Amino acid sequence: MIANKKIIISMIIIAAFVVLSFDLFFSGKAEPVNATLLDKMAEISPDYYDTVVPFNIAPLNFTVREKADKYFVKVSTINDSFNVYCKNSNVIIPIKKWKSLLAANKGGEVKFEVFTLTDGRWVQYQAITNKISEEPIDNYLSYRRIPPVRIYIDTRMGIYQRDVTNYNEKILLSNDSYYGGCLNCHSFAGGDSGVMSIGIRSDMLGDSTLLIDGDKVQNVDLKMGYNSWHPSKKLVVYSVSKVVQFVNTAGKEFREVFDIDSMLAYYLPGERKVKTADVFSNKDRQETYPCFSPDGKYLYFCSAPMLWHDEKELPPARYKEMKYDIVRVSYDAASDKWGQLEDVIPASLTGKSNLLPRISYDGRWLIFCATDYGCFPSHSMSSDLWIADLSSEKIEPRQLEINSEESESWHSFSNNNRWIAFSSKRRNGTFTRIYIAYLDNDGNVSKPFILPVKDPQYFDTCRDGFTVPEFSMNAAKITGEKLGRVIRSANKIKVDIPITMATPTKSKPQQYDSAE
Amino acid sequence: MVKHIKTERFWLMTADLMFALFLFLYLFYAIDMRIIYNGGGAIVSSPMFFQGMETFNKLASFPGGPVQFASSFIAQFFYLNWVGSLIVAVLGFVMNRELLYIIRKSNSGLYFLRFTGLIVLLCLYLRYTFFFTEQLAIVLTLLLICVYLRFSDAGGFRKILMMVFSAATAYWLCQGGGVIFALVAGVYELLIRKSWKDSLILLSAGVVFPYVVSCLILNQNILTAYSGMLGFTPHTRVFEPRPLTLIPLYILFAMLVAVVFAGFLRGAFQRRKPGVQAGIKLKVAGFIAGNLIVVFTVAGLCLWYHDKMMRAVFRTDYYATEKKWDQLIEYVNEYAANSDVNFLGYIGNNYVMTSANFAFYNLNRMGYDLFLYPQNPNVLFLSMKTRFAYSRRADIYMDMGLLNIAEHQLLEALEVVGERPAIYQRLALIYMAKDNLPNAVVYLERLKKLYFYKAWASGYLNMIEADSTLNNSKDIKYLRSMMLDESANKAYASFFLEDNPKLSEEMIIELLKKKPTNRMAFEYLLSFYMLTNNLQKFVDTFDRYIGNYHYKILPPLWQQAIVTYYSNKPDREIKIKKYPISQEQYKYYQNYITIFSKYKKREPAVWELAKNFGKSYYFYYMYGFSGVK
Repeated sequence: MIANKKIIISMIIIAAFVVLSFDLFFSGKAEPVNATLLDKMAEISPDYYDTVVPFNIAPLNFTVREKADKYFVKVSTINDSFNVYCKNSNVIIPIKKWKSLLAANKGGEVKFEVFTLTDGRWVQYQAITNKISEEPIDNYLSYRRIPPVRIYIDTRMGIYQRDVTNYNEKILLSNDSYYGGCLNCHSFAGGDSGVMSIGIRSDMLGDSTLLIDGDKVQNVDLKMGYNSWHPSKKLVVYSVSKVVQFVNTAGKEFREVFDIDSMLAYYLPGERKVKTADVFSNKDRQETYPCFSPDGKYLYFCSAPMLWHDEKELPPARYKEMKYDIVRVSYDAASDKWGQLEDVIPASLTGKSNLLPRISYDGRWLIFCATDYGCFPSHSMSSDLWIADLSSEKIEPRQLEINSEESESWHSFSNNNRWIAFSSKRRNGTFTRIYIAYLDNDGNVSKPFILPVKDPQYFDTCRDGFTVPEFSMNAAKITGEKLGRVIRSANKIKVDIPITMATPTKSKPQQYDSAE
Repeated sequence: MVKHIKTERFWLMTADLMFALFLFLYLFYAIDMRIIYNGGGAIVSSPMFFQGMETFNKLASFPGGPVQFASSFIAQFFYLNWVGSLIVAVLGFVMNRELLYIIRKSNSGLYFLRFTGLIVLLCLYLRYTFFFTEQLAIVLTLLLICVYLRFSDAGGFRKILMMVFSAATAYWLCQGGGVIFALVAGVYELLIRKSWKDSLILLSAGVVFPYVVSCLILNQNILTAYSGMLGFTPHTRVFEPRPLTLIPLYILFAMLVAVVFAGFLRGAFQRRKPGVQAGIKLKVAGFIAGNLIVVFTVAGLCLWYHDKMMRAVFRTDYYATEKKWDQLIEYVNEYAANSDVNFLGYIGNNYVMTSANFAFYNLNRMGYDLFLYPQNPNVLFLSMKTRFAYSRRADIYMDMGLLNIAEHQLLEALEVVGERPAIYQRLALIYMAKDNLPNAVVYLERLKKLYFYKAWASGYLNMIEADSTLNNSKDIKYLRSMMLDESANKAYASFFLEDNPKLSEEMIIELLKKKPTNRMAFEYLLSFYMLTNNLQKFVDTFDRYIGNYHYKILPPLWQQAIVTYYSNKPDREIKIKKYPISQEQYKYYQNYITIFSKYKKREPAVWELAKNFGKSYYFYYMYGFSGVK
């Protein structure tokens, strides 16, 4: 028996030795010798150069798009450096070395010196430089992964939370958990992923909204669209809309999404009651994309005149004239009173349809999407990100420098207001990817970089779109299984809903339980 | 005694081999595994194997991942009919042997029950399903059970370790199969070995591992944790477009567990002591009777359980996807000759006819043979709300030049049926034609990782690298010549595109206005007007566009439509451009009218008219259906 054990242990040791030797032998730990310096930078993908990176971000792995037999990369700052010996053109940066290098050089620069070996000759490319920020990025980024489809009921989709300081991605909720359907419109209360809402659409279980507070979940029998939490967490304002998709017979953007009718309402979780106000359920206008100011004193949202009355005419004749203004209304949380409507960024100011207002946590910056027309920026090639300084006397929005020819949308701020994340189709026009950019004190934004992933070629073939990125400081505590169980139980909280459709009809405006 | 045992084993093995051989031949000749691999728009989430580490990395760390990995690797060979048939036959054979071993271990003697697995496996393919991952999971689970029964005789701490390790391994390999493993092994310990403690350990492992690993660590839902790889997950139940086909799968699991338990129960409570054999004659009789039951069951299933509708749908879809038009028409002829008009039901008929019409166009037979089969206005564009239809519809729109509509349909298909090479190929072609190369590369790169599609994808990737305009590609050139430019764009509400042929008509009218030489659009539009009996529009369209095409003679069905149109006009003088109506057609019409006049009413005339004019437009115009059957 003892002899057997010895044999087994010996075999394990030999096997481990063989595996390690094999790995070392084939890892090609070749260092460049007498490298010729070229006067150009190596082409890399993703294009991680001339940008600002958070000091706590996961390594920016990349692929060298230069043909060669071997690859070697030196990662350095002014104080320190380490080498990356590549097995192929993929540069996989060791996470511990990367993090300590960046943490020790906040405010400095990090360089990638790329060397390649071809026909026995090493060449060195000009160093690729990125700035290291002094401010950290929020540890977590939540987003929805969804393929580019229309029939969401048949689609595999989920909301995921990514730890951006490494590559860990956790499923918050997948539609596998409740017999398929749509899940969408997740939003956090004040960057806290402990308090959030997730919309659920299911053929089998009906529509509902999950309101999550820590490990408590309410499955509310309510169909919420885009929503925004009041900082007090006592109410959520949400859009109610009739959404239609159109398919274009020609042109690059083959799909468009439209609200045929929409309005806003709000839910009071404590009272389990839905209300609306005339100021954002005007029958002559469409209202959508609510967003509370961080102090909770104003609700910003988008509003456009109703240009059609026959909902059966699809697409409506004037749908390309539909342009939204960004407006706001004051709110007194103590008395639950809404004030008067104020213009913030009317369509006439930009000449565009202004959508998706999001305000930085310090209340200073308003970033929004501006498209040629319509209400759904992620399906509009013309959608660009604009910024406005809310602290200036006169609001003068300007286009950000980071836009591409494709759609930019679904932006959000980090809790320290220094980082924005947004979805962009810039790589190929169809699949949305998440980009991160640094926002300085003057509202200038650095060149954005794609959310780093372990396999640098991952996004080349990934057919999921990544939308609605939302920063948070903390990881969600609730488990996907618990959320799934709540949804599957079909025990929904019934709420008093006076609203049966989007904009109130003319005949029964009094049915709304207006707060005013 | 030893001789008897050897003889018994020989005959059992022979029977197993015979049934496996039968399964192979039946699958090869009667089912055709290629068409199941192709999917017919109805196989969802067929496993795909991408070369490189991607598939392995994605799956290896999850419970059930190893089985998924193995199934995706093996499933790619279903591309070849004989290999696919062989794989399933081997699977059935292995399942037989595993069950035999378990039954032997229980000492129950119910050997004929081992065929349960093979029979249900056959049922799954008779209904044209492809739950290959689940099949592999159950085979592996049974194997692990056999291994456990063989090597778990020891006691003490080593046994506890072995039980825990086996249960953990089974769960990691097969997820839900691991639960079945723990259940079966636990019951075996209880009934056969009479060890309630070991039983409790195994059953507890079956409960604890899934919850801890899948729910707590991996954040999966509880249903997936306990039934992943077994077809019970919400995912499978919702995304399966033919939920009824899940029943044989569930029966498979239930029967296998029942067979094992029946064996255990019989083994536990029978009076005969282990090792004491029944009389030889009785055994031979039992062997023959058991095998006869199996033979009759299999024969009955092949005769009555074979889903003829799905066979027609899958086969025509396969030929259409591969653009094997002659074979498609040959098959439809055979199908039409051997079945009733409504044999396949509305959906089945429409699906087959859509492919047949597509083949007719490609063989230049649309104006000749359209009414050889049962037609209706929804057939041209497969206008109906069914999840099968997206990819089939997409092919028609794509070839016609409505690339955006095809793109929309293909992306829907991709989500409904999952990743399929044919869908990727078409999307890549569309994006290349639309000059959206980054998007095309996403799909080409994925195709490049598939063994049987690598050459195709690499060809295009090389072409893109050499010349990004792709002007040298014949296919891309063709699509570009057919597609609309942005100035001709018109928007349609997407949900109407599925079941409203009127929208297709509108789109083709717009397409023809911009591309008057688009022969496919022209012929489809004429066919649509014939199927809707809208002869005014038929004649208008014909007059407006016929000058753009060169037909040797005017196809007879179109002549018949023109004759019918003018026969209803007061002056009855036919005024059409370019082509004369043949004397033969005039005569044909006269004969039709003569027979009809004999009866004076529609109903009594139907049989004689159908016999002589069943495949003519005259008959369809009068009765609204084809008269060939």
